[in-house]
Order: sequence, then structure tokens, then C-alpha cells
Amino acid sequence: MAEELLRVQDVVKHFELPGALLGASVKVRALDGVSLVLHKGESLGVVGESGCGKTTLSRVILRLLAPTSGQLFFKGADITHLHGRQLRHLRRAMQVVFQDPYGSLNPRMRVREILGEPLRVHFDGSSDQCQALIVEIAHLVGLGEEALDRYPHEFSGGQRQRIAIARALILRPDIVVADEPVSALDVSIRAQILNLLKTLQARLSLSYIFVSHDIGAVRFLCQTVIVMYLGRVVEEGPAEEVFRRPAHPYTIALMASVPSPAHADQDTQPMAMGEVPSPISPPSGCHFHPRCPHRMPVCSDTAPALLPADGGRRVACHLVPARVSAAGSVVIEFSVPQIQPNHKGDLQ
Amino acid sequence: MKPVLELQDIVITVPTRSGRAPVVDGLCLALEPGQTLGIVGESGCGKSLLSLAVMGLLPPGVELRSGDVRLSGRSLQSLRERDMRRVRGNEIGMIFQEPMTALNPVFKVGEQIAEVFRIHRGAGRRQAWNEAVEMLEAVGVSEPARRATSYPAQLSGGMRQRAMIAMALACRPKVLIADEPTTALDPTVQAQILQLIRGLQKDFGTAVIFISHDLGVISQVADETAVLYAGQVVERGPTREMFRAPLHPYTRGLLRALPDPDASEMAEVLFEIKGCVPSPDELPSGCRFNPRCELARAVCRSQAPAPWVRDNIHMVSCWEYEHG
Repeated sequence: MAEELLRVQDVVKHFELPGALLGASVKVRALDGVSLVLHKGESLGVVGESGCGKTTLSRVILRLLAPTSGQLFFKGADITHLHGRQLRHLRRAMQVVFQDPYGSLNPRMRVREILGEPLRVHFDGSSDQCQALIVEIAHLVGLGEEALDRYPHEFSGGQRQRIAIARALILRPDIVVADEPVSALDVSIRAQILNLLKTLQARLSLSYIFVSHDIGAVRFLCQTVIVMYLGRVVEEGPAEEVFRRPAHPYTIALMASVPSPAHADQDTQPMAMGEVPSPISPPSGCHFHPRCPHRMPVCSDTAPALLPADGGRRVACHLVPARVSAAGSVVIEFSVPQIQPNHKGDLQ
Repeated sequence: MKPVLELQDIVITVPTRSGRAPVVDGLCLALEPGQTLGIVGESGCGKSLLSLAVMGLLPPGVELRSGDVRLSGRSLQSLRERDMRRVRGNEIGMIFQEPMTALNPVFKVGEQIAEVFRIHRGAGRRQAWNEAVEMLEAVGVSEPARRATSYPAQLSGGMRQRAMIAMALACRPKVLIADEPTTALDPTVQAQILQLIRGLQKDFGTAVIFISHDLGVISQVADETAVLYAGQVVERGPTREMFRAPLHPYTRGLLRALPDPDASEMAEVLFEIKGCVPSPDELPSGCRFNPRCELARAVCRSQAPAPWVRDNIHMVSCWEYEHG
């Protein structure tokens, strides 16, 4: 097993929204006790629909947002409350690629300056050394040297995303958090960028946290995946297991609703009723129960814990443990309040 | 069957630094009653301008240079604006990607749907309102009488899209143009809306032009599919057949570039179509796809291929099939 790089433990993030006129403020539970572990060289996919907290999770991991409670560990050290110089040091090891390559590059800077900026903040080499690094990283992401003296608007969406990736990689980070990096791109360009991310990962031994609603892209890039619904993890495990044999009713519905040309002959019936409720007032018990075709009385009272199930996965569903014990393999005590903070929590 | 909508040799141009350039170039399509025609293409292929041209709603500066749009055999090009207004919303309905911008934020949803009945059917206020509520019920809005009194901002994305579909189908148009109607929605809601459009189409017998960049969505809704590249149809045929055995190298490339989420074996490397879509003022000579095509030969670079039709139903424009 590869070295553990990042551990997110029971992270909660609440946002306060101003209430209606003179009313009390409203609390949005964007993250409601999320845990994950990322190993060196691994890609972890985070999937879910809007409002599930996947972007908040990536911002908390990057320490752009402070968690309300819970802890973050980087290479074993607690980074939850880092600040100042130490936080800056951490930023060098964790970089980010955003969804919109039009909004995330400064239009007044040439590519050379865009790529040089992280070096100016974090690297004290000579100007020649910097230039050498800039040229090297440009080649690595497939940009020619002539691209360096042009402005972002002169590039297509795919080329801009290459610039954003180069900027994220120039400091040789350990972790790259990619928040929907291919969603804004055309199909023919998406494959180029996904292939690039995969090649770079192998060459630079990077670890990715890949946040996306594009299940195909996650399947291509990630070994491990967590599925989120309204601030909670509902299922996690090896990507192949979770996507090919989804266990949680939400994951099943999500997979069934992904239209794929490979299944053009099947008439898929949507399995989730209604829409994602507002995270301001999530349903009681299991957040998914109002939309779940298999709901039971217990589902509206008690939130199910995330418990081990078959295929090396963990699932938060009152139904799933029963299914496993029927198969005779694992019997789980139902009253376990919460899974123990996981020293054996590797997902592989 | 006689086509309900015909697009003949459509050329749409936009202004560029050096004059005007075609974004849609010599496009011909026909839509039969009750049929769904999928139009798939990447950004800049001209698919949205095409739908606006059908509605006679091209933005200023964009010009329908030549060609004809015929609805049930009647040319819409020669209509005066006043007559065109009778066609829009009445004979041709349209739904857009973002219902929040297509609905008026300061009017109740019910009023906006009722307006369609008042304008096109001359219905009185009360009757129009009742029909609007019925329409909301038909598109699967729960508690339609209460929702009709909501403002667009009070509805979820899926509900807004249902309201817009209700408005577009209120007059039972012959043709519905759906321009990326599910792109802004979550996957589980998208599946519901796709099912709704298919169901209503069966009930009302509406012909649908379904425009999308998403091959998966197109494969689920369209009877026939046309693939657009740089303003031209490069392939057209029955959807299932095309997705099973695509003929054009571009269509093949798009399908191979798409990772299948529940494939048993995941490819190590995705197929890439190299390069990117050319801009309308820098179109390559010959076949417009030739600089990105693995199979490009000398003839591809010098001459545009003529369409070749297989079994009378599957059309492709590619030199590969010229002697097949």
C-alpha cells in the first residue's frame, strides 16, 4: 500500500445564511461529517449532484475554507489550523485546477507570467532557473514555447485548460485538486485533457482529488470514488465496484440516469423521484429517503452509518447491511452509532 | 410521409474581422411528423444559430444568407414579422437550456403559460389560467394549481424546465425545438425530463428537433441523428444504427473519446481527436475535418466530399465511402 498522503476526518462545514427579514440566520450543512483518505499516486473521485458539497469539500481540503469541525492531516501532520508561513508552505504541495478556463486565467497576463507567478511566491531561484522551469512545464503539458508570449484569449478552451494545469504543476505539488476540470470542454477536447492528466500523474507521481459529475471521466481517471448526497458520503470504494455494481439506492439511480450511447437500446426509467432537496433543510434521517424507491420507516428517523459492505466498499444505507448478511458474508451490528475513525480505512 | 419541417440549403453568416464567414453552410434537413431528430455537435458548429434561424430569431449581425425554412410546405422566409409571430409558439415551440433566463422573473409561471392561450387561442383570462394549470399537470408538476402561482425563482431547475415545456407545448405545436434542454440539470433530473419529453411527444404527436452536445442524451431521445461539424452535416441516419456503426471518422472519434462509466474494462488511454474545431473564418479547404482526420488523403485536402447514402437512410460525407 502506498504512503498515506491526505486524511480528512469527520469534516463538518456549515455556512450561515442571513435569514429572512429580522429572522434568525439559517444554517446550511454543506459538509456533514465527511472522511476520506488519499494515498500517494492515487486518484480519488468525488461525484454527486449540485448541492452535495463536493466543491465545498475541495475548498476545505485546499484550506481555502476553514472547516467548522473535524480534522485534516497531510503526511500525518494536522493541517486543520495552519496559518501564515506554514499554510503557504502547504499550498505549494496542494494545487488546484478549476472548471472554467476562461475565468481562472488573468486575461492581462501573458502565459509566461501566469506560469511564473507561483514561482514568484514560492520559489527563490534565479530568473534563468524560473524561465527554464516555465519552458519545461509548458512542454510537459503540450504547449509550444511560442505559446508563452501570448495572452489567454488567444487560446481555445482546451489549450487554456493546459495552461491552468501547467500553473498547478509548476511547483511540483503532491496533490492536485481538480474541480470539474473537463466539464466546460467539448467532447473531442475532453479526451485530450483526461489523457494528459493521466500521463502527468504517472510521470510526476501526482495524487488527484477529482471532483466531477461526469461519471465516465471519474471512471477513467480514478481508482477510488466517493459518492456524496447533501453533504454526506453515501457510498465509497473502488471505482470499478461502485460504478459497475452500485449498492446505495442513490448511486444506483445516478448510474441509471447517466445517458450513455453504449446503452442506447435500453429504455432507462429514472429511479429517483423528485429532485435534490435544498441543503438548507435536508430531510430527516437518511437524506435520500424522500426520493428512494426502497425507503423503510427507519429511513426517515435514523441516518444510516457508513458501514463496510462487499467489494471493499462502504455504504450508508439501512438496506445494504441486511443484504450482505443474507449472503452470509458479513453481519453488521445495526446499532453501531458510527464507524470508528479508520486506521484500517484504506479504500483499496 | 411528407416532412413537417424542411431546411433547404441553409447558409448563416456572422461578421468577422475580414468580412463575413459562414457558421452554417449549405445545410439540408427534413423532419417528419412525430419524429425526433437529434442534432449533435460541438460548440461553434452552428447548432444553436440553426434553431434560431428556424424561429426567425437570429440576433442582429447574424444573417440567414440563403436557403429556405418550410413548415408543412409553406416557406417561412417570405412571411412578414406579424405572420411569423403567429407561427412562433403556436406552430413551432422552443425550449432552451436555461429556463431561468427564458422565463420572465416578475410574472407568475401560470400567467406566463396562460398568456400563450390568450394570444394564440383568444382564450379569456379565467379559461387561459385553467388551461395553464392543466398544462402544468400534464408535464408532471405536482400541486399544479399552487405551483401556477409561483414565480420562476421559487421553483427548482427541474420544475422550471417543466414549466417551460408546458409553455412550449401549450398550443400543441407541430414542431418543438429543444436546444440543450437538460444540460443545466442534474443527471437524475435530466433523466426525468428526457422521459417527459418522449412521453409528451407520443401523446401530442409533436415532431422534435433535439439539439445537444451530449451524445448520450441524443442516443436516448432521437429517432434519427444528424452530426454537425463546422456548419455542415457530416453524417445523418437512424440513431441506433449510427451509434452502433458510425460511418464518419468524426462521429467514430466522438464515440470512442467517450469513457463508458460502467464498462467492464476501462481503456488506459482515451481515443483523442487531435486539434480543435476550426473557427468559421479559418475553414480548411476540402473536407473541413481533414486536418484532424486520421484517414486524410490528398483528395480530402483539395475537394469537399459529396454525400454518400447507404441503404437509402444513412448519409455520410466522407471520401472514404466515395467508391463504396
